[in-house]
Amino acid sequence: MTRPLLFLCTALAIASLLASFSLAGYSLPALILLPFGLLWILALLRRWEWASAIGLFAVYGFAAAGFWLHLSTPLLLAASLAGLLAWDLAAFSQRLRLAAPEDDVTGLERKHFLHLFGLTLAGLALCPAALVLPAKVSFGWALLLVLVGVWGAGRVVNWLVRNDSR
Amino acid sequence: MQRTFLTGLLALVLVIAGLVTLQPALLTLALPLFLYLLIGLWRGPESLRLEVERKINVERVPVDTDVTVKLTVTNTGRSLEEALVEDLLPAGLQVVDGSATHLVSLAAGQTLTWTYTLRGKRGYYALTDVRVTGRDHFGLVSSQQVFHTENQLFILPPVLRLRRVVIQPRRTRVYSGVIPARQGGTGVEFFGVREYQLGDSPRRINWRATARHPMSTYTNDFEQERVADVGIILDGRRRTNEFNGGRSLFEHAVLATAALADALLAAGNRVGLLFFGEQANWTIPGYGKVQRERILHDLAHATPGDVLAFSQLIIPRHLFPSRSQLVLVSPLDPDDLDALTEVRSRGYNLLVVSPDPVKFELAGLPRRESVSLAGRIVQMQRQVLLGHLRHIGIQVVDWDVSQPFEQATRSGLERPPAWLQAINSRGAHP
Repeated sequence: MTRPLLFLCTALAIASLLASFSLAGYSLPALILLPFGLLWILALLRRWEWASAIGLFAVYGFAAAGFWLHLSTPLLLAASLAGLLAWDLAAFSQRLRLAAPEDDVTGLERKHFLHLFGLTLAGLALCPAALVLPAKVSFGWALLLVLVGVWGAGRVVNWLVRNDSR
Repeated sequence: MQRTFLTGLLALVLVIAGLVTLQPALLTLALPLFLYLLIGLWRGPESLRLEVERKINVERVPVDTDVTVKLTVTNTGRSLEEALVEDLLPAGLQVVDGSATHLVSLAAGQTLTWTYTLRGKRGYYALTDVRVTGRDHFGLVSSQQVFHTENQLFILPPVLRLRRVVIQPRRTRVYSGVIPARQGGTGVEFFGVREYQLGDSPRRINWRATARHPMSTYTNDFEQERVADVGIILDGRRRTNEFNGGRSLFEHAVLATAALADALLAAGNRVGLLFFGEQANWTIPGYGKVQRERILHDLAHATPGDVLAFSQLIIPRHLFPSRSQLVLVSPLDPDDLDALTEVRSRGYNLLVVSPDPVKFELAGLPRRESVSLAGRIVQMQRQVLLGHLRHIGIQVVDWDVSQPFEQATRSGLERPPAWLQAINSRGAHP
């Protein structure tokens, strides 16, 4: 079940980006996205592990560019969420390959999909809400938030590294 | 870890880009990534509290025998969303049924048991480690721990049954056995004629000799048969056993050693083993089935090494006095002639069982004229070496390992039955 869902999410991410750029009349990004999407799917078929990371960064890069160009917000949000799900499912699929035939793979998949479903719902609810909420930030506050954000993210990553190496 | 870092990095880049460009949409894009990280962080395992137990149905098995392993894991800590349990098997063992790796979800207090079947090459295997990696559902945070268990597995070499190995050491022990002791007494083989002594059975009187010498009576004497001290030396030098392409004669040498030890012990002899590889390792001589198991146990451990030279071979006289029997199992090297001559000159009876390295190596090489010519030259050198050994009184069995060992020993090591010897001797002296 994981592999079909992985391909579906990958295709959805690429299709959403493609639609958002095409509908706004940007043909060059669309022309880049099409072979990129095919390559990504080929990489998934070949089980190249590094491809999903490149795919995630590319989807978020295109989505950010799309927001910069004021393209369709729902499509860009859908693409980014689908990209994130594809990234997660690719890793999950790799981990499932280690399972023995007698292991309860279906149970693991069910629990994993439940978590992903929760994440998707939360993402779908929070992202539009965040876009709608009015917020005005001055340059000083923005700078402070950047510094706090960098420090906070650094702490989180540092904690995760230590936790992981235990 | 890489995934956590990449997700965090992407989220951070988006946040910084959003704040720098004052684009709230970029911050919005980072939201799912932060959510993803937060859920992973929240659900990630802290430490693993597990009880791991491994049971093996047997500890000593012959090669090509299935071993059943039962692995039980009990989670005594918090629930684990995703746990990868890997029974770390040493190289040389392979799983033939079931799996040594499992991906499961372990609730608090839950116990899971798996059974799988192993098979392996000859050797000693310490099964000590079970690695468990616990992860959150997104695989962002993981905690890994290796749990130690105390299991060991001996895969013993196969033992071929040889009917009888003929050795004739000049020194035997006092106990009766099957080796001709070169002394008159009770036995089955005719040894000589001596004057009658009180207590001799009248059935053993040699009437023909007595008729020729009327003043006295003569009795047939038979050769005593006793057990002997036998030291088997297994050559484990890498340079004589291993060839290009990872091919090795060593397993054949081990097989021959096991078969010889079994046959010699079955004949009641006192047998010891010297493994001569990276270091010399003695199995102290002994008798019977226990000694057979000890030798097989030590053969299971044996792996080729390349530190010692054959000239450094020291045979302890208190274990193997001069004139006792030594059996060397070795592919032989031209440099060994001097060392073997010295062993022989110390009075030992020496039998060399030599798996043929030339034919073995040729079988793995391409069939070209140059290879064939080189093979013939090296084979001639080997035959010269074997000829020298025979010349100094060493019994040699040249074994082409493409043939079964029993076949090689049938002609060289087995004693023909008495009736066949009688027929042969009649044929020789009509």
